[in-house]
Amino acid sequence: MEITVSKQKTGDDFYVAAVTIAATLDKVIPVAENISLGAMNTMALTARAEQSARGFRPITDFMQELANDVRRLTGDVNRVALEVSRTSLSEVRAAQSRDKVAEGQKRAGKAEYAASVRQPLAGLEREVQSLRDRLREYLYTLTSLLDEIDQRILAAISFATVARTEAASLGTSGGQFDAMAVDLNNSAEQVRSMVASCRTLLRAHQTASN
Amino acid sequence: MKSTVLSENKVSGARWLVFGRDPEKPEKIIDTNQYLIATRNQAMLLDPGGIEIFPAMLSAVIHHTPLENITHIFASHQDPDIISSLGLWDRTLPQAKLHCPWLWEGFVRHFGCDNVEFVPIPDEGSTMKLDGLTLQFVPAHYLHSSANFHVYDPESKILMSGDIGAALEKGDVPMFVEDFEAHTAHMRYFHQRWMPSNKAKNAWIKRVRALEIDIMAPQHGRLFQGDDVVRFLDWLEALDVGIALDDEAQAEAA
Ligand SMILES: [Fe+2]
Ligand SMILES: [Fe+2]
Repeated sequence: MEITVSKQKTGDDFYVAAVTIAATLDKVIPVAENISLGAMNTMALTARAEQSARGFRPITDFMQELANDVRRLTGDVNRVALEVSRTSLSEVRAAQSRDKVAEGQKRAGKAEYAASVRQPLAGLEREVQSLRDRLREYLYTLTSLLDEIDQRILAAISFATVARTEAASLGTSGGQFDAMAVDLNNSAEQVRSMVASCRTLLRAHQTASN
Repeated sequence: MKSTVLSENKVSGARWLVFGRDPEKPEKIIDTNQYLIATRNQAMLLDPGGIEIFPAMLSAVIHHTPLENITHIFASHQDPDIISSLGLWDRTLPQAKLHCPWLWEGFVRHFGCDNVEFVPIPDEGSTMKLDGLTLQFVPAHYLHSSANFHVYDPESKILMSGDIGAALEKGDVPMFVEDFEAHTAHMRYFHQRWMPSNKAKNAWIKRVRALEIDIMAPQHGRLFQGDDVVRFLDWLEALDVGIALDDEAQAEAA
């Protein structure tokens, strides 16, 4: 009797996509550094402008927190992406092994000891399935991490808008604050587009593997 | 893939089989002979071959022995045509032991060896038992690989000689050499170009002349039996090997 092997398409080259995602998000790190630097500069400006610029304190706090979060989340994405890559590669290898063993079994037809292939083949099938489940979990975590970065970025964009309004209320002395707010907005947009391209990459592979 | 029984001992139950001449093998892949020694409850695969021929090899093997009996694998050296299928056997025969020159452990593991136990063969060689049958791992270093062994079965008087005795012939050629003189044409370049050292070659010939051999079974091409074994040893003794170095020397002198 032949073991039926799942014909479902495998994780394919997720192992390449995942490391590409990690590499793309690595570029977010200097942007986070820039946000952090912006926060420090704004803090210095706030101290000098004293009372009139007190509305900027929560904004600088937010920027600092944002920079830290982005750095931490990028690290998490890196770790999970590496797991996705490893698991995907193991899954591809296990599936290839299973297919080669299944091919051998098929070619053997009614060989005297054909039944002895059943056990290793069933083991390989289980291995493929469990790797596939694990891969799915890692991909879910990866998507959640990207969502989390996105949420932070959306908050950053609205903070930047608030900051620009605050800066305008300072009149002529608000120029430098406005520049900071524009900078924050630009950084946030940069991160957003990087996350978007990661997501596109991930989605392309997810539909390919379903 | 064809399989041929080389010997069968009615008393001990030990059998030697050769597998090869796979008509479905991709054309650019060198043709290889794989061997199986099966005793009553155990079996060993010798130089089980590359990834590409794995399905054909698996399907051929299970005509002769159940997989759970294959408790040992032997790899004469680290070449891909010898053992790149390891990652697949590793999943098919997780209980097996791999006997391989110690020097190549870190290299051969690149083919995948998570379940199979790696048993390093020391430079001086060793023996192993398959049920009651004692097999010898005979050193054949630098022929061509720098750490390399052949397998000798004193009961069946068969020497599995790895790349020594290899011939490059196209098509579905007979299993045994029929006309030794004619056959040398298919072996000459292989031995001259792949084998690097006359010193290593002569040491091996001396060692092998001391063994009683009915069949010499190389990893490529036809097998030798009877008087052709000694004819082969004489022929190899007279042959200068390591010719690429000669070509280099000539180029330098020119
Ligand atoms: Fe070789
Ligand atoms: Fe070879």
